[in-house]
Amino acid sequence: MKSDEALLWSVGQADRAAFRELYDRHADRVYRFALSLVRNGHLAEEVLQETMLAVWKQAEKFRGSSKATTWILGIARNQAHGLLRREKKGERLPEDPTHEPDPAEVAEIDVRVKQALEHLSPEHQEALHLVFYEEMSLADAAAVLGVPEGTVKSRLYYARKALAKELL
Amino acid sequence: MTECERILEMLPWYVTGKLGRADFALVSAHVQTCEACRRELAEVVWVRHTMGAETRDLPVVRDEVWKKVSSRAGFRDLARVDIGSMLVGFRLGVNARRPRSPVRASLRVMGRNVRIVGAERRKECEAPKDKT
Repeated sequence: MKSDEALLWSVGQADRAAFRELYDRHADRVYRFALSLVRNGHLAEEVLQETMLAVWKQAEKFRGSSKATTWILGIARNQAHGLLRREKKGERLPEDPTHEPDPAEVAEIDVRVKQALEHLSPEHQEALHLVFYEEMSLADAAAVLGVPEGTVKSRLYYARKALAKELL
Repeated sequence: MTECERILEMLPWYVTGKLGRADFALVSAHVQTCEACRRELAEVVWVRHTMGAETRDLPVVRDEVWKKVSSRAGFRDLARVDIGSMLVGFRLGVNARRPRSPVRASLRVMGRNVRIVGAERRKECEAPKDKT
């Protein structure tokens, strides 16, 4: 099986099959990360679309200085934050009326935890997601977030304190 | 920075198993003797469990998303001619979203498509070594 980095190189050569494989490997991960930030299935799918299109267009710029996962999630983060900024300014187009939210999406997630996480800042939410859900190392989380390692540590500390305050 | 502060910073990666062997041993030894850090560790374990509950059973990405991505990436041809069998054949595709090579043609030999018209490579460089 090809590594993600080798796949990304092939995508940079306009290899569609490699792009499909890369998509299959990372779509759920990108979607869940996006969902942790935008808190809406439809918007998370939009982030996923934009992220994968950016990967297709920019793969040839990938130089292998970071892991492919880190690089892709970094793009997803930028897309999600850009979308949230446009949402705040009211610049976004209306949602796709054909998209029906999956009832399981709402029912299966612990409502109390979901509400508590919604009260956290996006910076705290993404730090918690990357470290506790994606189980990223400190260096990788810092690379995705584009901040020094010390900032990740302090965001994580305050994020868990805030979460504990909400739930305990 | 005190030892407790240092330990506190490492706790998230201690519970996710991402610490090096030396740091792991350091944290393990410290929490056995420090009650305050043990309480912090319990909280970190709880947060991790909580995050697991939050993200458990998330719906998978719908197939429609790939269709949208592939369409916007210009994978779908406006017109396509495909003749022959699965093993041997000829395919011609036209796609206006590929400004550099709107027309692509390929021969299918033993089930494998070999491009004969239309740019395949964006640049020439060596592929990175596969880690697997």
